[in-house]
Amino acid sequence: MPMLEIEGLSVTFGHSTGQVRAVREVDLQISRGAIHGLIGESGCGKTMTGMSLLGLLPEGARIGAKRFRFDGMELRDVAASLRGRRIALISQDPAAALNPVLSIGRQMDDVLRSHRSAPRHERRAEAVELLAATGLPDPERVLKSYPHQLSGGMQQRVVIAQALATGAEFLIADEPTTALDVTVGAQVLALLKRLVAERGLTVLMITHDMDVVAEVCDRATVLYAGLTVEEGPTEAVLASPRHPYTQALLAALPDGARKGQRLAAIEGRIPPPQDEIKGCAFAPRCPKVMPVCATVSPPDRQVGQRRWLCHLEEGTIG
Amino acid sequence: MKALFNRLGPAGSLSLAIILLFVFVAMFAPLVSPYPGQGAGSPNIAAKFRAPSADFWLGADHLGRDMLSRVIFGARVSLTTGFLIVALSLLIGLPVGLAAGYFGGWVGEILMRVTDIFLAFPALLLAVLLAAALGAGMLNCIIAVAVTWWPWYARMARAEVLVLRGQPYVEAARLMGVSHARIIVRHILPGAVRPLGVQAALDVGPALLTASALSFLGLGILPPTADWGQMVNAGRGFFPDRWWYSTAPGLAIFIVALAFSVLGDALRDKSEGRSHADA
Amino acid sequence: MAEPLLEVRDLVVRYRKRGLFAAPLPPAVNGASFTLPRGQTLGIVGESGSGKSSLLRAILRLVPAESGTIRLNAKDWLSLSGAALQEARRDIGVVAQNPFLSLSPRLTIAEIIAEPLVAQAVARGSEIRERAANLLGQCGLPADFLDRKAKELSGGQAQRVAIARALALGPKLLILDEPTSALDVSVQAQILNLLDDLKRSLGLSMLFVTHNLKVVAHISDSLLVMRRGNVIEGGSTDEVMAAPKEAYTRELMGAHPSPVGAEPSA
Repeated sequence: MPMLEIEGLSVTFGHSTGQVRAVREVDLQISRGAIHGLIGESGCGKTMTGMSLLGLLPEGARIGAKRFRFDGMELRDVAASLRGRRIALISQDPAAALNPVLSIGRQMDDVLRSHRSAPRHERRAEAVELLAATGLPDPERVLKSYPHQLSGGMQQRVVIAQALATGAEFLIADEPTTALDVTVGAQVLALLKRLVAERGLTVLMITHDMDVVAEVCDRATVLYAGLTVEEGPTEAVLASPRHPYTQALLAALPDGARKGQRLAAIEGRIPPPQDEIKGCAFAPRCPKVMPVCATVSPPDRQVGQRRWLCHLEEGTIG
Repeated sequence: MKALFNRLGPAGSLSLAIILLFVFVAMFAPLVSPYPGQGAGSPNIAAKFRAPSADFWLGADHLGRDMLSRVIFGARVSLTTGFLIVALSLLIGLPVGLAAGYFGGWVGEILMRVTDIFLAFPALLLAVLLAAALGAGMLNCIIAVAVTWWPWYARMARAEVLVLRGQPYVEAARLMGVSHARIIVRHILPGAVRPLGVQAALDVGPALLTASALSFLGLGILPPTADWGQMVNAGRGFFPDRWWYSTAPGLAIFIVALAFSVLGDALRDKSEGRSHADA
Repeated sequence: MAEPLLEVRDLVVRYRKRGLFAAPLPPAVNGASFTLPRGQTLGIVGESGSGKSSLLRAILRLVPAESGTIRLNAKDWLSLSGAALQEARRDIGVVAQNPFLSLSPRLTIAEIIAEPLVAQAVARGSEIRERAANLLGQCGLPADFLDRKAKELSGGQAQRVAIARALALGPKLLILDEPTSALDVSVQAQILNLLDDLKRSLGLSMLFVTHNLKVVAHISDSLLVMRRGNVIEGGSTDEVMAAPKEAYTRELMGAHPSPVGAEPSA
């Protein structure tokens, strides 16, 4: 049984007349011990999807889903109670996730204390151990530090250590390296990868960065306009994308090898969340658009480990 | 209209209505007061100390003048004084704060030290001393209060400017060769005006209150001009037997000062809510 | 060979120490030298603290240089001051990272693009609006954007406006500070294509500063890699990308994390 099973997730705001669909129809299946990439550009609903798993949607949001389960439990009922226990968040900005006026030691202890009733010296030993596990040198000193005394990479490691302190087995990492330098971000990714292997964690990696996906993710889901458009093993999705949007996204990436050539920009824009979509959401921008795309929802194609939504037959793609 | 009500909330809307009512009454004082002549100061000894009645709704003072008319004419003077104090303070404080914040360095340092010196004195005491030195009268009263008032605007303007000066669009303007004067007028001032405007609106009440205090002490507006503070003082000698004499102008001060304070709070909540939504 | 448009020699930038007895700060830029030939693009790559921003700010005369020389368009750029400096600023157009911060939120697009034209008194009256519309068109936006405000635009559209403004005074050098870092991948491609078109059609020279080596390698003729205030590697883009001399450059290129267990401390 997959750890996370989501089918047809929608997140909407407002009245039936002026409905805003932040998430239209997202499918997501993550098995235990996997790092699963959730890829998309701004406005595709990837962060909202993550927040819905944490029960942290803004007021007035309505969740709809055919299936919305975590470890066999109905997430709509338990999301809030799992947050900070079995599911933890690692956000983009570690500085905002840490309280600037409390020492790291105090903040680690607050988390540990709320999860088990161990004596103070044991909790301290555990905090040291967790910080060391995230690759922080001299954890004793880090415990005495305040967030501003640490670099961005160190702060992100502390946030990860806090997530471990909750005992969470499922981490939602929302652009965890975007605010960090390239080399530091690479270290944080390596750390996550190692923790997954050592501790059997499961990670939902929300990102816009294909390099991050290629680096750490076992499987990847591509979102467009609040819809899952493609899903499959990372290498397969990146090497031979099936959905024209995934293809366009990869082609738009600059690559030193094709220096000086024009990049394949995707013209047009994502349909705004208040628009109702007829047919395929990507049709207005799709270079391979056919008449049928404008009126009929694309079929759900499944071949082996891969899934995508497109009117094109497999042989005619790519 | 409804949108305005929604934004200010019931208390804020009521306060705005009260203020507008006072402003309206003050503007058309000769038309709306029952005895315009008495309001302007002519005595009517026959009605001396008449208690509140159908003829004299708020009673009459020691010269027999209708208190309601006096309070209405007093609104002209008191409101004008309040507005002018705030306006004059802005006129001094805003340029000082803008210059100190924008140019910084030793110019800013000197300007802010001077500002701090003014702030170091207890405001009311300084105003009383100044008013005593300058002599009584409406203009001197306004000057005396404004001198204690502007440093607040200077500090506030400087704080706003320091934030705005660091904005990338201000730096971009500098890099394109836009002159300092143009940057201040076009980019800095519009950003600083809203928070300062809210503060200024909020301050009309307290300014009026301070001016009334000076008048009460005999250092502000002189009889026969009707001013609320001076009227409270005049009625003091006849309290509590002729209680209406001091009570009527006192209540007017209380209501107007309270209305400005509540309206200011409503405005502040609104602009704070706005800046959160921007973030 | 013609004189290069920009020539930087041994530039040192050091920020003032805080407090009388504080130790002097290490230089933010420690002796940078490079030349930018006309019509070419130089990419400057580095992470936070590398000194790339300080280098830019010194070239823009926003911070003083401690020593070294900068020649721009056959002028001793660091010796200019006052009105001469303001006028010479016409030669440089600047595009910052986040267009929503670098475009005034209170002005319309027309007013934003008109600002440099008015400041340098190169156009007046109805001519200004016409020029602004032309500049927008050059950057791929229709003239009906003139009456909008920046917040009504998408990130890509706003960055196009920022580029249009940077081009208003007919600069010879375009300085781009992380111009696509705040944008989505598909929009980034549009902006990079636009910059490439402008470079060709206007014969612009560009300084392109970013932390993203792939982006800069795509658009630059030559590269400069900076780390902790030092230029650690430089050369033609093809050379550097094919055979980086420094391990750090390779790290930036691949962003391949070190092997598990051997992560260097952050």
